[in-house]
Amino acid sequence: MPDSVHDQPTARARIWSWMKQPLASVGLPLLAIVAAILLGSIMMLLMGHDPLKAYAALGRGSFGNLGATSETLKSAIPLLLCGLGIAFSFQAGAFNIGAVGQMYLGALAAVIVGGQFAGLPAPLHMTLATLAALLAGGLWALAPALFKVYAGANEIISTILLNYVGIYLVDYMVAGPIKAGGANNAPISWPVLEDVMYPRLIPRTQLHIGLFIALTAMVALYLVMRYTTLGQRVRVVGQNPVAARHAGIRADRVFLLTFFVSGSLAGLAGASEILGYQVRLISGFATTTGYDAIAVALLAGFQPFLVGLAALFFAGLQTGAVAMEAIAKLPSQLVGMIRVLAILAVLAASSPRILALVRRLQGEEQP
Amino acid sequence: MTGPAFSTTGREAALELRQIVKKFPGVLANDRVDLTIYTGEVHALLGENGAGKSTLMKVVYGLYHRDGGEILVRGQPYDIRSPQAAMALGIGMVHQHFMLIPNISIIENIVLGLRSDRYPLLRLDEAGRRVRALAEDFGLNAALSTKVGKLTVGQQQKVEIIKALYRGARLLILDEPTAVLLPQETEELFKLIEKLRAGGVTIVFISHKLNEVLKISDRVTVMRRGRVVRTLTTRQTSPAELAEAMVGQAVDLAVVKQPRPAGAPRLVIEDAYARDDLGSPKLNGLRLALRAGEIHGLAGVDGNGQQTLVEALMGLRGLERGRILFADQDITSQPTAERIRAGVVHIPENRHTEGLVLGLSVTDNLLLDVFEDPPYAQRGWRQFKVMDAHAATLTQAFDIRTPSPAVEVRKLSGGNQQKVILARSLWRNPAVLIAMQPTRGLDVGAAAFIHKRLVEARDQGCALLIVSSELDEIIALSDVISVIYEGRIVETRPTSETNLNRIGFLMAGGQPDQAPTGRTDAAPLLT
Ligand SMILES: Nc1ncnc2c1ncn2[C@@H]1O[C@H](COP(=O)(O)OP(=O)(O)OP(=O)(O)O)[C@@H](O)[C@H]1O
Ligand SMILES: [Mg+2]
Repeated sequence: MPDSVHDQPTARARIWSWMKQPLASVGLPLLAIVAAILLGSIMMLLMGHDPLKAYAALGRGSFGNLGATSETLKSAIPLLLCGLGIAFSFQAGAFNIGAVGQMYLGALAAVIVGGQFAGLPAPLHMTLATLAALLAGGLWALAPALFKVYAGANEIISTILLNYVGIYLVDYMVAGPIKAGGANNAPISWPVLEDVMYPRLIPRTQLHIGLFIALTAMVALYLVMRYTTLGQRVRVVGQNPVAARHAGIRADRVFLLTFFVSGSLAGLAGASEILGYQVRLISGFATTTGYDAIAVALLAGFQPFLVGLAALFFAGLQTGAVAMEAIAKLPSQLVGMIRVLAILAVLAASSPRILALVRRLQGEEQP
Repeated sequence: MTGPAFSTTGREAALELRQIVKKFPGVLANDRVDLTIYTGEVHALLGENGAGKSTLMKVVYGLYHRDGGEILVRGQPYDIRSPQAAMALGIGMVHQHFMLIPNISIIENIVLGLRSDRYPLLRLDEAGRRVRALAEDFGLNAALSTKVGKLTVGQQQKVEIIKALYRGARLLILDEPTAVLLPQETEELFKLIEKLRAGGVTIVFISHKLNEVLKISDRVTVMRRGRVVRTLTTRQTSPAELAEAMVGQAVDLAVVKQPRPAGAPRLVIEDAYARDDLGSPKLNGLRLALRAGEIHGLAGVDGNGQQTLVEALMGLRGLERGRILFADQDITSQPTAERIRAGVVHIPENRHTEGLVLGLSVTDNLLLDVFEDPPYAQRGWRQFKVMDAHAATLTQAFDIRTPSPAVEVRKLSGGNQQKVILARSLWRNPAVLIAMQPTRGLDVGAAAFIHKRLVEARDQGCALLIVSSELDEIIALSDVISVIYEGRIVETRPTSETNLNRIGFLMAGGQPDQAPTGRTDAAPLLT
């Protein structure tokens, strides 16, 4: 049939058809990143800084040497764990914005279990502290999911509110119940016992085995989504909960489960921060990680391996920012603004309008 | 129709398509299509599912861009690249699947995206006057501030039409407008179309129902596999000729069914009371028994509890009182999944919202209710080879036209999407099949095929419930017919002991003892 058509595709059409596949999956996020870099440059120029020098410093500061690279990898761990959880829940249509609070609860559980029960065998103790964090994060996420299922409360609002509750809870705990000894000390928790801390991967760096936990979670999520019935159930419920119900799938259960898993991963992120290198819990120990992770998940289009890449990118910005400040003498506020620009560009790129445009380019102009 | 046959002489071409080509990956949806639509005519577009009707009209409306050919509007060539461009040329379209936004008002839907002269402010008062005039003209009985989601399907369609006219449409494309309408709503639509034609509006009318095409159109163009087969003057053709042109061979449209004694009651609902989502009572002491090897038709005016009944039978809605028995077992509180596993399956009314996950593949949709069961999954791991083989078998057996089962179901034509749902429910010889509007949107050939499959299922002992707004279809298929009115069954009778008039009388709330009697004439079914 098709051979009966006599037409001469123009060069432009051919280039488009060649470009359109990658453009949809990877191209769009890349475009967002490029846009952020350009906008950042303009801002630096306006403020009298040399963007080339600044970006060189950013590159060197994030991946320039072993020390910088391991610092970036370390920062990528919580972003990756939270990002995976968010990607999982969003795919089920469960909008968990509560990674911040879930991470706080995980850290709290880790420091409580990890700082007590001296005398337990080290591997067991480490495992218990990690599991406690996982459970705490999961349960903290389950609460808003239950509100939603049984009372119809909007999960976006309730998870955000619970973030504040989590932050205040930690503030309270480190100022009182789990405060380090001595009444005059700053609000900071007791330390995790030394042999409960995660082993280091590279000597004289802070990179710890939390990286393996995060990478394992990444591969596991990939396998679940790609090969298991659970992954399919998540997709079906996320894309059409009504049709799911008609096909006999309990959308409510999927909702609860994805929330629990997503909270658990954020809880793990909290544990890996404390048990990985921070040792003690302080108030405000990670106020933005759980939010940045949303941008990470969106940038990656919820694909586990791409979540890994996106986490690395954001972590690089984070560690490189220090170098930008120190070497290129950029004010830290400007560095912060560039990071936010990157997030905004990502959000813009995942907006329905732009997605529709990409569809158009792909030749499936669905109205 | 009265008056002389439509003549094209002396008329201006409102729209002329020359050698239009539209390709999708793996599909040639329009293959050098030539079509001329004259000003003031009602031009029907007829063709099998997937023939390319919707695609062709979306090319005209600027939703798709053609890969080849020319579009002439009133004699001038144009490159229509967006619906805005089409509207500027006076072309409007009402889609097969509506495009209104349910949670904003009628008037807001209509002016959405238009600039008022006080931009960026809306001027709903000014717009309101003009829209109200149109609404009155076309008998839209609803306040313009009503949220569109609260309207009936027929009203929503009127809103779509008014929206197009408000934007200055002189050529109106209606893609399967009657597929979702009740018979009386269809009558109203036809009156509206007559009115528009009298006012000089040109209409393209897509439908699978031959009797409608014969009734409303001046000329008919038949498409098959992306090409125009021929254009006929309606007054000079016949259903048989049209059907043959469409399918390429003579089709037998009558349902053939041997009488067969019914078996034991298979699915019984007793004394059922239930409410809908808004809390209004929908089932009021309803009882109904579906027997093995019997097709049970449910006739009723829409909104008398059909939807709630089906939901209750499938476990999608709880009963306030009453019980449901499956093979003498009480399943009143059994969840949907278990009912499906036991062989109680259904074809939902709305394929886009209830039946399909549009972003998933044809394969995934064919397996939507069994993908967790062996052999399609083993201990939680999906078995892709088994699934692919299954999908290949079903697409073939049910003639689902798709480049491959891996394609997103969104990309199938409306009728082929419906076939996906039918295949999913019918392939496994269900114990009970509850079908709402099973042949909605199917071409005559496909509908005849599905009717045959439904009768086959009955012969193999399946208990069927057919809920359809087409009385013709119910009468042709059913062994017994129940009439539902305000949440109760008013009467259940063998089809041979009732007739159209009696059913219509009961549907409207008449008492059985006053209803007209008589037998049904076995009329051939025209879909
Ligand atoms: N967006 C799309 N992407 C890919 N293929 C498509 C797309 N839209 C339609 N097709 C294909 O083009 C062909 C024609 O589809 P179209 O919707 O025009 O059929 P139709 O005549 O309207 O059928 P129906 O009566 O079932 O609605 C089909 O094979 C369909 O699968
Ligand atoms: Mg169509």
